[in-house]
Amino acid sequence: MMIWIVFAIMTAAVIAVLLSPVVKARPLAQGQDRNAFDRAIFRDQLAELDRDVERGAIAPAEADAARNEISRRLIAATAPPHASRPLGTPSMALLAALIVPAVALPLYLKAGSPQLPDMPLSTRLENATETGDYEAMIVRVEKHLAQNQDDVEGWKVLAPAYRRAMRWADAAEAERNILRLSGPTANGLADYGEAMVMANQGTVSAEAHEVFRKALGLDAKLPKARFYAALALKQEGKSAEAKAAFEAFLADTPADAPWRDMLLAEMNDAVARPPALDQQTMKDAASMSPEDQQAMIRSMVDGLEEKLKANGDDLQGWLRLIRARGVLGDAGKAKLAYDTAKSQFKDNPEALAALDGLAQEMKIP
Amino acid sequence: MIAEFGHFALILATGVALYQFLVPLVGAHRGDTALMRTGISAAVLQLALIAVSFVVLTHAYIVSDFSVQNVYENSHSAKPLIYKISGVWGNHEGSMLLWVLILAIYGGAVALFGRNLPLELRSRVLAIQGAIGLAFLLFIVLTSNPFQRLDPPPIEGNGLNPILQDPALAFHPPFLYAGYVGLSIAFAFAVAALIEGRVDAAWARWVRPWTLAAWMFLTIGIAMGSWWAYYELGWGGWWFWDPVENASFMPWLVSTALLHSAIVVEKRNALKIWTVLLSILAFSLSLMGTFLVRSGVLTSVHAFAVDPERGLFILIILCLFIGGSLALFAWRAPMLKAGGLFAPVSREGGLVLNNLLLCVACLAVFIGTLYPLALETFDGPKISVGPPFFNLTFGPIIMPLLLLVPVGPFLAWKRGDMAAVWRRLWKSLAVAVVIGLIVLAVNIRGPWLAPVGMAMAAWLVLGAIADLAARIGLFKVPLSSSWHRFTGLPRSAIGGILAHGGLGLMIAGIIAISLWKVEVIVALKTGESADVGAYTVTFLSETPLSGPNYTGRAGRFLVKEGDREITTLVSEKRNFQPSGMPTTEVGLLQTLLGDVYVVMGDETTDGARAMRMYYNPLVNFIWLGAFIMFCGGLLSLTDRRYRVGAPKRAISAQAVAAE
Repeated sequence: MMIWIVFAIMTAAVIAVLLSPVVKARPLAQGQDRNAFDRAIFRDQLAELDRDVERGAIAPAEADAARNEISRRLIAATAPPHASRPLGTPSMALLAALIVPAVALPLYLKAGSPQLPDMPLSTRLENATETGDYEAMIVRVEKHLAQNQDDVEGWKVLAPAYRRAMRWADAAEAERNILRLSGPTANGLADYGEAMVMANQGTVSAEAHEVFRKALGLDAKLPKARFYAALALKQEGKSAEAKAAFEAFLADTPADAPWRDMLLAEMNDAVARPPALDQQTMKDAASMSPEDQQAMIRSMVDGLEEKLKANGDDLQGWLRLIRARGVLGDAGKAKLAYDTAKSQFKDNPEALAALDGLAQEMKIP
Repeated sequence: MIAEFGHFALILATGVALYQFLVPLVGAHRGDTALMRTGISAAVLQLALIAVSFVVLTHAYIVSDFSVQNVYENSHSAKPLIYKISGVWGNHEGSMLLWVLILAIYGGAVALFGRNLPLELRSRVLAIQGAIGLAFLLFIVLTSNPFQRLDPPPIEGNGLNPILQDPALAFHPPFLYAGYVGLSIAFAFAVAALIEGRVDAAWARWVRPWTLAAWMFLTIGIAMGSWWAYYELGWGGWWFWDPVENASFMPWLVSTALLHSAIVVEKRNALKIWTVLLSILAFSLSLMGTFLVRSGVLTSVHAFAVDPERGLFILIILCLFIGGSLALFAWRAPMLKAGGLFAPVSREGGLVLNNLLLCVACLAVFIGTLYPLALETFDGPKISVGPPFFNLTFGPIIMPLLLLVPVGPFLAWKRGDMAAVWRRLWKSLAVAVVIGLIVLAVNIRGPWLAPVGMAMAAWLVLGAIADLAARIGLFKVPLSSSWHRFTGLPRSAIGGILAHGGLGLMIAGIIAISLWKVEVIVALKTGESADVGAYTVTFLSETPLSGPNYTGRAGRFLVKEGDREITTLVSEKRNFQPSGMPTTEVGLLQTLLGDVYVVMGDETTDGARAMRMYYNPLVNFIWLGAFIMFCGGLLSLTDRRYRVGAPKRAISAQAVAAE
């Protein structure tokens, strides 16, 4: 409401200033004679000419010619002034002034956001706790931690906040600091590892795998660590070990455990499948540039090829690889995959038929 | 609420602009002084309102109010204060706001300082200004609103393009815009003259200072842009005939022509129609420059077609103003009375030639800039027209003009006497030719253009000196009376001499760097040296580097001339976070005679680094010349003549004040 009062005052002030000449002005004592302006300039030119002559900047003969010409123009510019008209009616000016609000109001209603308060960063940070401004609180803690790197409580606030905001790299950094300051715990290590996996788009790096191993060293039954350790085995292509680890984990998993469905899904997933994309990665992919998307797809296909090299029995995997190479336009690599698969399945006529069918479809010689 | 306050002020300004457009025009038509005077209040109000909204936006940048989308997109809380402020116009929306702010400043100046203009003329000029302001304010509010808000606001902004975080570039746009927009006043005067059907001496006297101001700012703005490109982009070049550069160069050429033709209108009452046309063309080109730079049409015609909203809006503004004013010109220009007669060899004749050559030169640039765009539009290949085209077209056109520049000021009005000119100029010409011959002797194996170019530069500078000497009768009358004459010279005359001399210095710099630039590309390991011109540059060391928002490597270079150590230069490669954008910082030794310019490149396979080094002789003459031209403009602007023109001004002004 306040803001509308301010706007009303502004508009009123603008109209008042706009109309002030109508109220104040009287007709000029004599009508404005346009020629008078010219005459003033011609007189000035004559004066300048005189100064030039006096300084010797111009020859007297040239000066005379110029003086003649200017004087002629001066005389020509002595037409009588046209009669000035009286003031127009003030009502017309008043009416015209309504143009201003008539333009401004609809435009502002269309473009403005009168309900939104200002949000300068400093006040936002100061009032973060009172207003429950979650992002601002995070920044405050970050600023505090930039000065006091060893405040474990701060890191403990940040870690879950980062998780919620899906800032996984930051979350991993926070978890690492917690471990650094309060010593390794099984849970802490598992959280750290999980953040690393998420930051790495769902792939368990060797480093993360090591972290999970340490966590299991402290607590062999810790579900999160067991899950990711098994996942790591699966991604490393150690299918048999992965299968054993998953099954052992499943055996210890209560029927109502919240992670049970995820575990079963992971187990059912074909062993040689590339790691499933988590939601975050899918979201990232959607916002990527086409080139980045292409690069991501290529790296996934490369990963598939690596897995097939380690475990060549997966016909579906080979078919996927050949198709993917063909679609991506890598004719050479598609051919290579096709040839490798053919030698792999040379004793399996059904598989060969499937491969040949695909090759024909993809126009691979 | 402050942000919305600024937003509302901007929108109110839009309403006031509509008022400023319509009411004074009606008032002038009806001879209603009250209505005409409200136009003056409107112009002042418009300035106040836009200034408020600009200050509010700047405030939002300074306090990092990320609830304003524009701040979120272009600022960052960790940025230094100066780049927070320059970030206001470092983006599309903010730069358009700056554009209308400068327009309003010019309008306000006409309103406040235009007392010695006939009221009708002043009202009509302000009305045209109002129309331009209205078009651009609507463009801002409807398509490029800097006060768009975000709810909920993000906690951190995206930051400013690192390449723009540079002092020269921070202040380049305001100057350039002051030039572009200043031409709107000449345009408004031209349209007002067409509406009135008269161009008189008062009109010419008023158009000239505004054109001069615009020209000055364009000169310095273009020079700053070129200086920035020289030391920030790290290519060792200073002008690239890039469409963005051409977009500012074309209005400069035409406004230079306008500057000269306006003299003829004032002094001789001739060339009126031509001057009106030039005023329209100059502003049309500056509008076109805005369109080219702001619509994204340059990056790709097709990108423009995909998201045409903004570009289309500017295109409509363009058609409306250019088409409208040219139609008005076609209709009304025949009613303007032709003025005084003159012989072909005369001051007027010289100025006509100047105008013709400048306009043809501008046409060459125009074709080189727009032809690739046109070709792409009609689905032709994407081509780029480079320096060779411009050297072959622009060069030959501008050469004769440069040759004639010193002659012009010596020609008498109406009927010139070439013999008299020759008597006063032959010494300058002789010295220039001797300089050319010396250059030829030193460069006996070419480049062949060097003697010609240097002789021409000397001719321009000597011609300017001869002009001054003749005006004050140097060595012809006693020195004391020469001094007396000098102090009595109109400042515009001294300004003209400075501008012509500055042009000569600039040409010297351009010729020198174009023909004698030394470029050395070597791979150096630490401790190794390379010869660059007369200097020896030794790669001393390479150290890691970390700044507030970048990391990188810094290379140190010792510069020696013979055995004398001159200085140590540092060239940096920076990698900006979070964009990962690499930039280079040039190691630059500046001297009046030439620059040593060192750029550290990428690492080669054997552990050395690729280095690009240049010796750029006389390169600083380019910017020195531009600065002297700017000063000449400034000096002319203070000429007392521009304050004369109102009949009995003192009396009527006092009468108004006494009320």
